[in-house]
Amino acid sequence: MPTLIDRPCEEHPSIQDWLHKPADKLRRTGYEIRHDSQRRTRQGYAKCLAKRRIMGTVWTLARDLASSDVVAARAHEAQVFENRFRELVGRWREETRSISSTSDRALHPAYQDIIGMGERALPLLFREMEQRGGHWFWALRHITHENPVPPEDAGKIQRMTEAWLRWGREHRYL
Amino acid sequence: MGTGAPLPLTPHEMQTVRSAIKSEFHNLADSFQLTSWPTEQYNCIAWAAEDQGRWWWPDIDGESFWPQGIERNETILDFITAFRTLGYETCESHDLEIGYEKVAIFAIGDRVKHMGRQLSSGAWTSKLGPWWDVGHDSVDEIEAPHYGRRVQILKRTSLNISIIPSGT
Repeated sequence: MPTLIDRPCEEHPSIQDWLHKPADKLRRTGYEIRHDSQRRTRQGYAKCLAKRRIMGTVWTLARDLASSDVVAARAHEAQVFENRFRELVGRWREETRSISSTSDRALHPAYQDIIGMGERALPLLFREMEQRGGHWFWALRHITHENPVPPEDAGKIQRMTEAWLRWGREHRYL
Repeated sequence: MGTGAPLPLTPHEMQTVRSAIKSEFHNLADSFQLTSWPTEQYNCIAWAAEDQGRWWWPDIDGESFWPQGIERNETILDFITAFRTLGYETCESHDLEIGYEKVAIFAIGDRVKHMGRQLSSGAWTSKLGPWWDVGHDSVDEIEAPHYGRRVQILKRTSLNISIIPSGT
């Protein structure tokens, strides 16, 4: 869909029109156009162009916000993202349920795909951790580049979970 | 946990869980027992070390617990070294020896995947990752494609021996 800036201005379709229209008017009245007048005219056109650009952006935003199609599409896309996350979590839990190796569990393809979902997956990860537990420490470290777990709590799953949930709340992911 | 006491599961639930475990561990005899609920608080290595408060693993990021000063590698030698800090030494036999506690290391190649612990009855107990604890009669029943084969037995003097005072 074209924005306002893509559509010709009805009054001044082009800069030539902008420049010549006053001149034509002047010519019709018998006066010659002067250079400083042309400069002012160009500046006026530039201002008009900038205004149209801003209005175009505002108009596009307003249209997007108002459009139920866009809202619905975004909700659908968020649902697809969450479904993908749930599917990966289920597969990871199922396929690593008897594995003790921290590295084998974290290097599982489903776990790596969850890391690949990036920062957008953080609210889902924190909610999953809060509701169902799970060793999401590796993923959280790699996505956030943070580690709120003190070294003395390594392996203490309950404390590690609490430390991450606290961090998640502080950073508004929960 | 891991006492061998039966868990309060309905027969149907019990059958479902047992089937799921058997689907991964084909060598488990039908006599294997579920001895505690799944928990992600500790794993097989912690269970072998009798530590139910931590998840043990020598991951390089230091996320899991590993005895201080021991190399964080997944090799058999590094697991033996870690268990030396608990008083274990290598030995040949997995048979029950009165006065000793034994653990078994399972690996694929040189990469450790699992550990089990011998009970005072001579049977063995294994924690399956974050899943169930199971009791099994023979140490090798827990061998599986993702656990590898038993590669080493360690033993230490039992910490649970009653010392009879001299002169009695």
